[in-house]
Amino acid sequence: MRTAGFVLALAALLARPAGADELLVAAAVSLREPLATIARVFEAEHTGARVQLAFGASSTLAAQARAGAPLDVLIAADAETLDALAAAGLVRTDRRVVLAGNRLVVLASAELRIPLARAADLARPEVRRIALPERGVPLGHYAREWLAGVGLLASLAPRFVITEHARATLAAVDAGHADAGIVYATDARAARSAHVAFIPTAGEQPRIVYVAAPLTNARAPALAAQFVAALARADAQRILVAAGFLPPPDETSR
Amino acid sequence: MSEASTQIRVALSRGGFALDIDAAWSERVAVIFGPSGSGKSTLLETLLGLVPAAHARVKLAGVWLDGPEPGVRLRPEQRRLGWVPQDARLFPHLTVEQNVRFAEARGDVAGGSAAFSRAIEALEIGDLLARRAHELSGGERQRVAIARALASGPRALLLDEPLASLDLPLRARVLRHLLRVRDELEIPLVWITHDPDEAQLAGDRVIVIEHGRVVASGPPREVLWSRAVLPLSEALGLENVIDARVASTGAHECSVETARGLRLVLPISLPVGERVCLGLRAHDVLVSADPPGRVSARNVLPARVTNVEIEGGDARVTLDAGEPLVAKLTAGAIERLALRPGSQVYALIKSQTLRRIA
Amino acid sequence: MTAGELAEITGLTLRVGAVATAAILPPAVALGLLFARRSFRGKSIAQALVALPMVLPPVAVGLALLLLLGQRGPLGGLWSRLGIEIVFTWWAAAIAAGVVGFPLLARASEQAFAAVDPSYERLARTLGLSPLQVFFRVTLPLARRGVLYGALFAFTRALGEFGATALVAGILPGRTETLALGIYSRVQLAEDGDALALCAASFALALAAMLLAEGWLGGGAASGTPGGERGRR
Repeated sequence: MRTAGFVLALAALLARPAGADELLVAAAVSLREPLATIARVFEAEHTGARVQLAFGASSTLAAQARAGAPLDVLIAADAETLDALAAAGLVRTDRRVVLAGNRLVVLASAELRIPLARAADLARPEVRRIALPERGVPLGHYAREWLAGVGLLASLAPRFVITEHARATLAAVDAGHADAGIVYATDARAARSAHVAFIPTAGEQPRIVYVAAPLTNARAPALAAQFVAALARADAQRILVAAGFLPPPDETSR
Repeated sequence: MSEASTQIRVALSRGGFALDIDAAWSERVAVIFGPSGSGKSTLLETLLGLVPAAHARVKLAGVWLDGPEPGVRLRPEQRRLGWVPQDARLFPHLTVEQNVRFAEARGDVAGGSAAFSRAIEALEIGDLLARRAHELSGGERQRVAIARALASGPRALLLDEPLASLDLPLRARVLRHLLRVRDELEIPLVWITHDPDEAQLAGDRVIVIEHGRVVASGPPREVLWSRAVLPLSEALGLENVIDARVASTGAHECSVETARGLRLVLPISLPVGERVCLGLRAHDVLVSADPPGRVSARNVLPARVTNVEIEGGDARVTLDAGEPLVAKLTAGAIERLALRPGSQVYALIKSQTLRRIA
Repeated sequence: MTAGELAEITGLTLRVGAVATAAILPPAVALGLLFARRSFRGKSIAQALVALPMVLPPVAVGLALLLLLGQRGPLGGLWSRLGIEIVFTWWAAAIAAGVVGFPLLARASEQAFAAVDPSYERLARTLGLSPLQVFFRVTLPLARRGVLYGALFAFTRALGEFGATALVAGILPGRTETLALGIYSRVQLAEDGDALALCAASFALALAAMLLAEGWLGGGAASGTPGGERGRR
């Protein structure tokens, strides 16, 4: 049956024109599961609307937006990425929404024989490889900010395995390619063999915010603005919290 | 005298080879005769318009293809010349029928399908139509190539050494077809060859080319046996050529007769009426001053000496035995038999020395 | 991943490959003919330039295209004035695939045309065909095996194009996510099962293309090449 469906869908697709009420929402990959649910809810509320989700590192998505990708909404895992786009006039600051917060956790692979309980444990010789994205990716930036704060960045840097984004970091530790990894608490929920070794203390945690905004040249500006607004609504917030995200922190407290 | 229907003035120089041809004729079938490397094929390609570098004034079949004013030239596709290349060059991706019908793609072939049917019939390739080039023998390929040229409705047919790539047994067969085409056609033929047999059989005129220049031009027999051309034509295998038809036939032999009444007996059985062209080397012709008695030679022909040429120890005696025949003798034999123009003699020809060439 | 998504990605890949191959076919074949039949000043430089997308890292090709076609690039501005968007649409994927496939097709065509004995073309001229007719009735049919293989290589290269495509087309699901991009992003997301399903689809597409090409060529050993009559001079 799957084959027949595949062939039918293929035939339909080859002749399919571009949809009229289609939103292309590019989002930080850590938002994968809750955003898929939110998009389905949004589609149910807006008849005819189709939300297409593209996930990646926030920095990659921002680069695509800068290069002219036909995105309608961008959701980044930090404020700086969107601020930079806003400065270039690419996103609408008047519709900007902070939708969630998050925390860092340290993942240990199933193969790692020693327990990790605090930041200093990452310096033990058994931890040969530590997975995290590059500095330009929000998670990479947050992870380095934390490690710098606890005075370990320089000594651990030679052990870094650079991954593409949050989920790729998780995948690397899950697959045992890295002994440990620094990911968001929410990503750790999707871990299969890796486990959360410890959570940096509240004092050490960087301030992590997810920010969304419609693109200035969105094809369906009204629908894009509605989608961004929907992210701050109670039902979307419930979905995000259920997925392990923190409620949006007060931005002004920074 | 009216202007010649064919006029060729071609000058071309490339890679140390210079072609400088000036010739004119009105005969329908002209043979361009010369050794390989003499520039025959290059001349032919120039006539076809395929050598852009050549300075050419070419009138063929009464039509100017290059000139007469300088720089006026028809493109190859406008010339309507039927080219039969040396090695057939059948299009390998097409069947025989598609090859023969190839020119129909241009949409204005004179005669259209009638030309196709005539070509198929004349070359007897009706059974081959569905085949491809690689499934044909060399002779079949050559016949298809001739048919392809004919079916294009050409104003003249240009044959480039049509038999050179064929084995001897095949040559006779293809030559028969070619002679038939030659006789049935009304358009001019330019026939390139280095074979004196072909030149004598096919040509109304022969133009001899050596080192890129015309060295002689005229009636084939006269030119090829002339003192000036003889060294070349003999080197290329000059011999007597007899064009005859089967007059009567038996179980093991047949009698053939030429248009002018020369009769010969051949040791093979052939259908009456069939055309038989024979090659006979001059040194295979024996001459007897007296009527021979009982001899083994099957053919004893009364003849009259028309010419005697002596060169050192060799002699060439031209006989009129109904058809002209040349016998190669020694100078001593001329003296012993006291041969001079007008002498009545007998030519003795062993039937095995008669080689069928078409 | 649903069957619909799989079909969407496969369909898009097919469309990108087909459009790319169809678009480069005329210019690449023409260029192959030019290189095979004419000698001119700077020919080897021109040949090297044509081969460039084949020898450069695909990502470098992608960057060049991004600079060229992007909204700030020389052509991107033109497109946006005309209201056409290229970068990060499937057109960009098709362009990237076409550019990297071009040298394969041009080179294969050049070799195929070089193997065609020009005397067949000359003969066809004397039979009354114009140079254009000669090309379509003689040269192309005689070279069709090589040209078709070139098109097949270009097409399968287009199916697998990743580096250049990722840069100019991004990995936008449902818009620019081809099989190769889909495999990569799913591996990054540790969705190995889906990645393998996409691999299987890639395999099926490539296999189908090859079988189709073989069927088209008819498998006739001597029918395509002029070998039967050559070497007899």
